Amino acid sequence: MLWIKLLKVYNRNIFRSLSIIIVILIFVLLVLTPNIVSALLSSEFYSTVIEKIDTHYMITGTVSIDNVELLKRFVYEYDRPHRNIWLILEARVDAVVGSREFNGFRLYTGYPNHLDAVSFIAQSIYGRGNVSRGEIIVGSSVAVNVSSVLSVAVSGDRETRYFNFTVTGLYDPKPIMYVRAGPFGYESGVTTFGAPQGYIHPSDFEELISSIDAKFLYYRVVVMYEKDFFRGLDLGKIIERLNQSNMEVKKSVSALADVRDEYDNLSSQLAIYTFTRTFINVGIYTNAIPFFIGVWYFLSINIDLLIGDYRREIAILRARGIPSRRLFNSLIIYLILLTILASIVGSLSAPLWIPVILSSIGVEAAYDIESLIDPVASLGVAITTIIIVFFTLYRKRKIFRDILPSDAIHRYEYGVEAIHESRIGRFTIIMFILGTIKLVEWLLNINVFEYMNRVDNLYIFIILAIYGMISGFLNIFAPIFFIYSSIEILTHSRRVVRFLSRVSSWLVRGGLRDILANYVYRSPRWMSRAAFISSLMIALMIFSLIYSARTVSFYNDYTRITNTPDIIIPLPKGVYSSFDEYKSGLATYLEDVEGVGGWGVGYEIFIEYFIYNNKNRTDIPGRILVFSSVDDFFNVVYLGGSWNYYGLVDIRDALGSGIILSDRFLGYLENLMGYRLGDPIKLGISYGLPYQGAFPPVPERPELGQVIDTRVEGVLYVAPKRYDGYTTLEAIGPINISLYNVQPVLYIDVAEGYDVADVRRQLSSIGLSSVPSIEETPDIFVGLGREFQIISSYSYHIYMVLGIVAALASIFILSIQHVKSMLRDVVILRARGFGVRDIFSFMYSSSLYIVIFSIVLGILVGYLSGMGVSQMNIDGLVGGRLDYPLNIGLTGLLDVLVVVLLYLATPLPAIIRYINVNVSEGLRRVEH
Amino acid sequence: MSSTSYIDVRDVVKVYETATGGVTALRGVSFTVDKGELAVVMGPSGSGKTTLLSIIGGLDRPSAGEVYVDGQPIHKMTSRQLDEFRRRNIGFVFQFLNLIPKLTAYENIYIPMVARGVKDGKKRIEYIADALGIANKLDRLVEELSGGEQQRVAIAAAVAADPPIIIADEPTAELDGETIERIMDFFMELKSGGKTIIIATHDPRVSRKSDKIIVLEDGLVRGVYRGGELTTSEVAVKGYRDYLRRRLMEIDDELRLLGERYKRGELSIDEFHKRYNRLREIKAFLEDELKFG
Repeated sequence: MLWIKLLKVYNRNIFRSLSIIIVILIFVLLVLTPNIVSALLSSEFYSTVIEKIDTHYMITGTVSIDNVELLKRFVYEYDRPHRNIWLILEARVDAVVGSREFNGFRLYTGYPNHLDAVSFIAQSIYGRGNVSRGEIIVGSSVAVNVSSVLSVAVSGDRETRYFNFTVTGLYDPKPIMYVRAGPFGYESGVTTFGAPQGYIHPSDFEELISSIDAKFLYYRVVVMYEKDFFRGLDLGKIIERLNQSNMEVKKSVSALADVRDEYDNLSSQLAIYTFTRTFINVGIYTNAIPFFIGVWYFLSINIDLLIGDYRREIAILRARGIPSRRLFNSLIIYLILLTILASIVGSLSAPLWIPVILSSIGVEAAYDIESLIDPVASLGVAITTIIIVFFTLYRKRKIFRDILPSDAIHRYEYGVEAIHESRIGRFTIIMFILGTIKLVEWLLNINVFEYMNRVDNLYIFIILAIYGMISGFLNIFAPIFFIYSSIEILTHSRRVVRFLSRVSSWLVRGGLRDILANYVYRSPRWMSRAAFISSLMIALMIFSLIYSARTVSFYNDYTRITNTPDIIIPLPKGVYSSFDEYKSGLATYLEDVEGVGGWGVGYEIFIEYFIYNNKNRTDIPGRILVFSSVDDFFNVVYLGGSWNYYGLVDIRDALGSGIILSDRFLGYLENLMGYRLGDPIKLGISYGLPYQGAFPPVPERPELGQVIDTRVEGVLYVAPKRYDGYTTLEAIGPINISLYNVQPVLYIDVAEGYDVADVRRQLSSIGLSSVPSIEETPDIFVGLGREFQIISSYSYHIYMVLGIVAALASIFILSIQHVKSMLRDVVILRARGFGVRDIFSFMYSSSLYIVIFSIVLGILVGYLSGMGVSQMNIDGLVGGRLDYPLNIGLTGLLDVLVVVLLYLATPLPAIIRYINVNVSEGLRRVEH
Repeated sequence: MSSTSYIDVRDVVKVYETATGGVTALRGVSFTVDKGELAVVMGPSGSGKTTLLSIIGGLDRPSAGEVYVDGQPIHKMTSRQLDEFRRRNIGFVFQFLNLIPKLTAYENIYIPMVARGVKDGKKRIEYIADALGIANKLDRLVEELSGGEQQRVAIAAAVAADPPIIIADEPTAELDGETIERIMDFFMELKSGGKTIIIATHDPRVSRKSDKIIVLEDGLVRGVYRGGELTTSEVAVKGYRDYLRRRLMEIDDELRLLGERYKRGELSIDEFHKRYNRLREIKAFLEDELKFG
């Protein structure tokens, strides 16, 4: 068999075969990494909730108990805009009652669940002027025949904001104030926007809302006066005072507008996502794309060099009459054998050392190695790798035809294609332009989508949209484009190469330094390829460090403030064809759970979100109600029938106003979910205890086993969208899926002093099996965005290690190749009388310029892409801290330093190997 | 024991260790060369000429024997001392030229000057290049030059740093008659300037201008002739004629081999013609030498 004999020829160069095996091995490991990371994390995380939710992960941020306290804190400390709303209220009260002996006023709320919020607002008014403590009336509605409505709107239309203030109607005021502050939502029984009740239909309101630019900030203050209150008063004077107070109101609202930006920063982000495991794996693979490209390129170079090594043999065999096709086939077989060998080694060893890498960054996962070995995946990887190797070689098939028999008698020299001889292709220029644009974008932190929201011109919008698409694509490919094209272009410049080689030649004696610059300039092209690979790997390393550090930093903060439940019970997942079906399905479980606690329960519908502040404030967890009315809310939560709603807290009232949701958001809901205004848009459902006030009091010491706070949460998938000056929450793609394919999870906090295990046993007795408690489960309940990004950062760590190994291997192998190709020149220099020290400095310097390329370009691109991409995440996904944690920064710096030192040291073994070559022996070797 | 001759080679043996055992290239070679002499080492292929020149030039060490150059025992020198010795004393023209293809002709010539620490060698390089007829080729990469031009660049590189000894291994191979004349004139000029020159060659046109001819065969010195002896000494003439006859037989073999390789497609027609004509030229010259020598 001819090909077997040929294999012996190919296998003669063990070094080359080994280097190809190493490259393929790295390739295999890269492909296997997502599976193994995912499996490892399964054992760590998924054995809890996630494992039971195999199609998507329902993970939301939760605040365990005492929402009221939380909300108060929120209001007191952070919500200055709402404080301005109260200023308005105070102004109105002053205007109305400030001129008379006023014994008090009454704040009235028709809904017990508003009590807390309303009393809170009332407290903020107490003590001003003659206003005395009012009476809080709970539990009944008052017929308000005619009232006064004060509407305040602040619109932010691009650069300008304008203030709209209207007072309509002041009829028969009664000495009872009905105070309601909240977002634009209208409520039954309450006068709505700009007109007394009965004079405006809800659809008018909708129309009004939709007529306002989507970028608006809207607050509505409804102040209604009962006419008894004003009996005997000079209404004209009151109206005058009201008018006088307008200025104050305007000031307040103006201040509100001023702080809006800050508020936006505070309330920017919400990240609750749904991802399938496949999606996560795809995400991890996406992370690996640059590494794949680098390693593939490295493989390509190695195959090139392999052919170069055997050029003479190939030429001789061709001279003996063997066709090039058979030679090509035999080399393919040889490479496939190497690939299979590397695949087997990689598949078997990956489960061993990937955990080692993870544990090196503090991720300890209990796992069964056997479970990590996936024969099917390994086979798939082997086949994939073989295909890649085949096509890599296939690309070079022309070489087999081009090697002429006459080459057999000529000495083949490396570096046939020198850097300066190759042309800078058009594609390279395009890559350079695109890469540079993206880098500048990262450098200046430009968000094209922000600009898209600002432009009026359709054509400019389209151009920006197209650029946005390209920009998204470049998030992955820009580093590759920039590094590759930069090296191509730079190495074509004699001046640049001369400069770099001079920089790297401080070891070299003066005269030789000039020669070295030209020597390097005329070096083979694969030297620049080595620079490309190692630059890319350094860039990716720095990118990974920044990206993961910033991500982890953010989530560390996030986790710190997150209280995860004691007990987590995944309820059976349902696939629901409609939202009604979902509600009724969920109600079944709620009823069951209710029996456990034995308490009256309420439900609350909310969007879990996190406010992140980068202006020296604490992270603020919070919730926003986005359903449109309390009545609608009741409709939603009235699921099973055996509940009461005393636990309900309308956060709108408590907060005055939360995040403003645009009409576009509602549009999404309508289009994607068949949402009708009045339907809930949030599937997060809290099954909780009643709160204080008129509700059944929480016992100071619950009975043993009594569940004092339980929640069942669904999932809502929304994403914040940042506009100019403010933020809205907008539904993201899979919202319809998440609606109807939901895994309810029961979160239970057990009161202090009670045994979690007992509660769990009780739950178990009614068929609700809990997953491990918080002590046994990591902080996974802080958002899938975190989950995904943590996994992502884990995978980056592995890729980073693989990348560095690949880069070091590439520099090492190519250094040897470079030094080997220098052997002839070195021997000549030695023969001319240069000493070992001269030769060493010459060789080392000529290798060093690759390292300089790698480090300079790598650090530049890595830093910019790391900052850029993590910033993008902050804007678009989860939010995060902009600063770079010092300790992680120093660690990163140390890592980079170590790698740089390794890079510097890598060429040394190859140089030392050849530096002491016997001159006469060397001459004989190179001459024959 | 030091030597009175400028170059003194005494009982030099060189054995190369190979996987299959030792190969003896030199079997006890002794001769001397005086300062300012032009000595030619002749001998058939494999006789040990290149090995001998390597040892004299400090590129290699003898397995046994002694070599003194200007009184220095180079057979005892360390690698570092040999580097210094070569830098100071030797200009080498290699059989395969051994120029660095990535560098220009100028840079290749400049390298030995750098090694020796010559600061400004531009004028000297231009002078040498002019003498060798390559002044207009200095900016070209050597791989862009013809074989003859490369040969002259190699010679220029050897003499650039003004070494006292020039060792040339087949410096005129592959060259046409006119170029050989030019190069030999250059060597004679160097010689008159006091340089000691040792040339390994097959070319009688070179040997005829030498002060001394050392005939090597199978690693042994078969004869050392003074330049004038070939016209006066019967023994010298006989030895020399024997050498010429052997060389003629070698060339016949080379011609036959050349034809076979051409038929196998290993050589292009141009390459074949070039080498064939060169060998025919040498053969004709050797035949002339035999007839009239």
